[in-house]
Amino acid sequence: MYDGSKVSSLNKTQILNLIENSTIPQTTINKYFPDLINPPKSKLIDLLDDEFNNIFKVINL
Amino acid sequence: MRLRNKIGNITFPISFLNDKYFIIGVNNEFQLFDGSDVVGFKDTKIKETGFKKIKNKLYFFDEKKITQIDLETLNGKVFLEFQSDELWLLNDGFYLYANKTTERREYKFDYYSKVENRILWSAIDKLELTNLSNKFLIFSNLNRTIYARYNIISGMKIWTLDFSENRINGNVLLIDNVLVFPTTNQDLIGIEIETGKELWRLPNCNLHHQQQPNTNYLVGLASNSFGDNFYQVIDPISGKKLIDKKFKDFFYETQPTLACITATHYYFISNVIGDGTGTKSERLTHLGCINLQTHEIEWIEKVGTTADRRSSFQKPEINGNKIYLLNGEQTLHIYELER
Repeated sequence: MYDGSKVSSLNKTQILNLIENSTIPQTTINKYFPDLINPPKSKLIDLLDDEFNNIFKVINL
Repeated sequence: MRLRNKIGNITFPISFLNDKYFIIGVNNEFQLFDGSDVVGFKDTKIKETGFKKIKNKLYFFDEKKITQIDLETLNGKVFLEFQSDELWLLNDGFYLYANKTTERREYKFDYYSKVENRILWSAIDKLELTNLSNKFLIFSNLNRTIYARYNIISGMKIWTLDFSENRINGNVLLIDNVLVFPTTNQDLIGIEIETGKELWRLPNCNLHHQQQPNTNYLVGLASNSFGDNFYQVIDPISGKKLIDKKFKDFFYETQPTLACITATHYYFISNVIGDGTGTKSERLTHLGCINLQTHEIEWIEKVGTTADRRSSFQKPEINGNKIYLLNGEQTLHIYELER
């Protein structure tokens, strides 16, 4: 479970660790990999790792 | 349309298997569903992960095991246990044992023939086998910028396509011998699967489609609550838009991932409706029906209200005169269509 910390206060590794330790429904993971048969959660973490800067843009207000 | 039944605790949306059965997830376990009741599998518990249907058998993937269920007898057995990091099943006769190498995102995979009981060839690549075909080896990388086809006999790469400049956004489909790629620029690109050659490219297309049964046509309606809408019918063999129209005074928000199709009708879910001014919208769920002969809307009926996006209704499924609507609160609504 996400503890409610602001995403902007976490670095990439912390965010990925939080996601890795959370429960994600298989249907959600499947949406990111429509071409794969049975994508495990680790693939979602790999994808977020690769595409992190395209998905999250942390700005200081 | 009459509401016949409601079933709760549905954790995985229903997938149509044949005239008789669906797969459905109930309390995080896969179950067999006959359209009215959850009938389950004989003496076999299946964890809700992934599955593939090949001929009349279902293959369920667990961490290091694949379970096979015969749809005639409903008997289950362990099809295969493996030690490799992953196993990519092409079909019931051929699969690939994949092991990560020390290189980032790289795999060494061994192409195995069950009949010959031996590895036919091995390769190293940063791509993974896709589920696009049970006959051709089509690979892609995780972020879907590269697609490639391997030769099944030699293990050599036949073609590679690079979509990093115009990335894939939507469902890739294989229709006949044409791979259809939707891109972020809203192009639809038709690629011949044998050669990897671009056959056609259509601009301003919907990203998702439903394939009309008994035809190759791709149908899709994408719309918002402001009145913008795109209803398209595409022939992926010739690469032509057969229909490209807009419905007048249509303020329902929908997209082709929220639709199902029969040979004669296209059914869509809309979870948001506007008032025509472009300023107000409400979370009311409707089910609509488009006639595929006239390409006009036949009817739209209200089926529920949803407090927020998370409780929205998902993609409908249809079998015979029953239509199945699952909402985000994990309740399956079974409606009977009165024609």
